[in-house]
Amino acid sequence: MAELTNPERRMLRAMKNRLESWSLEEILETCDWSDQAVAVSAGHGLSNHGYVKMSETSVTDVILGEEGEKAASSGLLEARLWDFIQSNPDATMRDISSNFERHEAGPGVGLLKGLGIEIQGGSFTCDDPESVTSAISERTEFIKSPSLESPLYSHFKSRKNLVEMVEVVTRTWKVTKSGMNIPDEDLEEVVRIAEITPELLQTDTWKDAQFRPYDVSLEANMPRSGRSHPMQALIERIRSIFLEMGFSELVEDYVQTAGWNMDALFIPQDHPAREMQDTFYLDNPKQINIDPKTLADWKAIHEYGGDTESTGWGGEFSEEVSQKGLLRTHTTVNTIQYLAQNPSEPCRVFAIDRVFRKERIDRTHLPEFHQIEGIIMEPGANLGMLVSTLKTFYAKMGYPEVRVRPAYFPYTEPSLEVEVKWRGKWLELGGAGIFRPEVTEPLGIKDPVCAWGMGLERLAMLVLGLDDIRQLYISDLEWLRNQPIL
Amino acid sequence: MPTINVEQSLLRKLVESRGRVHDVEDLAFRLPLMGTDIDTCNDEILDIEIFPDRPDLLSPETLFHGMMPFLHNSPPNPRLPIKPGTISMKVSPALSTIRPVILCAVVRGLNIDEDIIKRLMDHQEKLHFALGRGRKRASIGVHDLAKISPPFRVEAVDRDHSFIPLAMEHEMSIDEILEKHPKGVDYAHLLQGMEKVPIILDSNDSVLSFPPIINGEHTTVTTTTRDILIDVTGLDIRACESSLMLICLQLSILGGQIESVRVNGCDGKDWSLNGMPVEHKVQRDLVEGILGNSFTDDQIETAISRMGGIYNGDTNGTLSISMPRWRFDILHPIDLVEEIAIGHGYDDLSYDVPKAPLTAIPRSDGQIRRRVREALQGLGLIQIQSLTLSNDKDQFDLMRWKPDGEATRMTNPITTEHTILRQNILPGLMRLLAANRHHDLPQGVYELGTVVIDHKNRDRVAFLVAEKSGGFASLRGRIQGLMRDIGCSDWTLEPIENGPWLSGRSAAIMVNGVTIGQCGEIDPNISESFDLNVPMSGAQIDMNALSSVVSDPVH
Repeated sequence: MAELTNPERRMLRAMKNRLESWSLEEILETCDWSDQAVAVSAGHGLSNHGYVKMSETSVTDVILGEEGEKAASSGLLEARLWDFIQSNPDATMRDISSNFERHEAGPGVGLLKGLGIEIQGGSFTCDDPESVTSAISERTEFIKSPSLESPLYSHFKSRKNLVEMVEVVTRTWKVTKSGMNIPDEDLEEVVRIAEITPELLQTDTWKDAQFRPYDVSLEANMPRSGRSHPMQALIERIRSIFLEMGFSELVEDYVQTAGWNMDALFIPQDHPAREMQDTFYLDNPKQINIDPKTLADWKAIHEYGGDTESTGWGGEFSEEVSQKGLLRTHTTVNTIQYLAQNPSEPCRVFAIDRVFRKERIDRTHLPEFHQIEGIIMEPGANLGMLVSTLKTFYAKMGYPEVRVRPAYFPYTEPSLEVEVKWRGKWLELGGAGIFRPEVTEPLGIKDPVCAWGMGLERLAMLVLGLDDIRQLYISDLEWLRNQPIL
Repeated sequence: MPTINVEQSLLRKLVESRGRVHDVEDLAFRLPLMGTDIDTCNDEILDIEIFPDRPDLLSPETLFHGMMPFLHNSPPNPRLPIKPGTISMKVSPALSTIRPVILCAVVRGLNIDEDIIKRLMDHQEKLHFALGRGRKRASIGVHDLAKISPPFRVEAVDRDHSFIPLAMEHEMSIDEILEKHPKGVDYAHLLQGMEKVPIILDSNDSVLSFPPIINGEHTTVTTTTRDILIDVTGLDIRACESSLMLICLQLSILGGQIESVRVNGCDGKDWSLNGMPVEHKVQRDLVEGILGNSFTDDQIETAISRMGGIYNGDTNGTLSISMPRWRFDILHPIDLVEEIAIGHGYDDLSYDVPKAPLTAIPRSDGQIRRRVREALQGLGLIQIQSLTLSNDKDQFDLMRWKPDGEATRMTNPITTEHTILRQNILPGLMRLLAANRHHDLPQGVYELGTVVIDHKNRDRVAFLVAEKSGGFASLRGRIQGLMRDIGCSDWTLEPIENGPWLSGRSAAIMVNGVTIGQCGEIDPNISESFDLNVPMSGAQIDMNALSSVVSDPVH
């Protein structure tokens, strides 16, 4: 037997006493209901289960419209006017205007004319007041019980909003054989609980009650919750990988010198990337002093290779250019200073932080973004060690397939590009190399320095399926709320 | 990085002329292993990015020369075949302070069509960019030798000297060229402040070239040209020599015969083009140490051959390697280590792990940053991030705040929106909520980020909540929750009057007499200036101040 609601149980139990059809009124009376909706809904339920058969007949009827309802409560306009004229036999048009609403006076007089009342010199005359009174009272009767059969129907139909036509559905229900087969004891009404409240649980009623089953497929409102930005989550994952692999974390300033950002890394002073259109230089601080000994070493290295076996870049090196203030264009500006301060201690360090490039904001560019960098310096560090380490790094990120190929960076030699297999496709995901002797030797660094790095936003966009980098920094809050927690 | 576009039909013709098969698929797979980035490689076209250390791959012909040993095991050819010539050029000593390096060579017996002229011009432009640094270090001129008469001389002339420059019909003075001729306008900066400028003349005093700006009108190379004179002038001998050699290499692959020109330089010394490779030395220990692999002599020979050089052998651990003289990029023995690595293949490197015993140390503020983030997320706030680049209006004027110490200011901002580095986080949150006006309330966001004060980084955290009701009580509840969650009980709120807050509903957050931040309801006047018209409240806290007064509960 299907699970029935309490109203269905009551209705079926009543209907089992009589095999003939039941009208709505009969159901309401027998079930002791006042709300038609309860009966109709129970009837639908039972009919869906096949316990009753429902028949519907529909007839056209007339009911009162908006104006009709008003007339029913305060009287038809012509009735009110006629009453006024009869109790004020000297009434003039002017009196009508001052005693009735402006929108009533005009149409009202029209109605009176239709009933045979005339206006002469501003006052009302009528030949047969009796017939007017009786015509009006017939109309008033119609309003009390409108009927399609009434000869007045066509009159009211022509007046605005007084009556309207409706389809009236009349339902009857008849118990079926399968309805009859349900024993009365299964139709006992039970206490069925929707919301479980503390008050309920403090009584004993819940013990005999049934809990109403809910439709578990219905969507509900989600609670508002706080969460990390996906970039933060990604940064935390990568931080843990570096820390697991024995790398220490470096956090340094955005404001740097051209000298440490570029000269220390053997980027020639006439390199295109150093120009105003690629790097943000600073008005404040315009210049930052660099130790003269360091400047002299860089000058020698750049011009002729200094004490190294290098030929240098040739040309003239400017100490002034070197001391220009800028917004760092990579985190290597910080790792190189760390190495300069600790030239003979083996180290593994990493940085995950923002860098700045002079880029116009569009779907794929931002003037600032995150860079990840890892550095290994120790006796015997080599390219094989670098590649093995970054394979471990990317495997821990979830990308076990890694391949490398030659690349060029001004401050590493050899240099390589790292590609990882991401969802079946090879993807460039970073660069790596060993610092050139022109970079390390002037700083007193004896051991090879392996370095690798990558931009974080590109990975974030891939992971989040974004095609517009701006979404990461000028986020739509609904979008943020709907991202998976990384 | 310069990109070159090569027609596969041309490459195919060149490759097949050496009896090899041109396989586009194989090219797409293996050319990157030589150190290039392929953008497109299909049956018609090859678009590749050339790295700055391989300017010898900037034309289809020189690319072909470089890739043959690598892809097809052709014997390397690091020598440029040069026949001694009789033509000479005399450089005035006055050039030593103007454009000291002037080199010259001739290529004869060419059969030139429009395509070749175009490729020659393209190559010149790519070299001007890559080696010439915009014609500063090196600038190339090519001339139809039949239209000029040797011997040649280079002189420094005054700025009123005049001749008919390329693409013009009448004489112009040097000053006029620099002011009016399109090339003059582009490169005038290279001659700024110089009283005299260089001019190359022939024996009839007719002007070949006004380097590095423009050639004379009458020397233009056309499809009837058979012999070409190439001049390269500049500031850097290696850049000039490589440029000259690479143009010569391109023309010799097209069937030309290179012939030397004796140049008597501004220092009085004679120079003529040397096509012989350069012998470099590198210690075997450096190669094997950096690559973490040992190599047999055969392996080194194979690797170097593939890279277009010749391995001359190992003398007591010193390897001798001859590389083409135009390989301008070889500055240091380490560059040969990379040649060996690429020639050998990056896929055959040893497995090794870092061995130094080291303890990983995370950033010292890592825990307090995490605890603050967790506390704010626990209060239902969503973390956002915004740009560090900002402007005075957002940071100070609209917020009624004064700068803290010096603000870092850019010389060359792109927009007026981004002229300084931020000192406050809250304005970014206001901008973000303004961008999210169309979404339902409540909206609660926070950011923990870097600000720059006196050009030094520090961290600040701010939160901002827009909600229909709640006001100061709900703000204070959030502050209470935050302070509880980070384990701080000795804090107070003291009324303040400055900042973006509503007077009488704002406070400084104090811990043991130290101000760590501010909080309050946002003054609707301030909201309005950010195009927001919803009730908001928030706070901004300095992380450095906070961590100086709040201790770690675990410590």
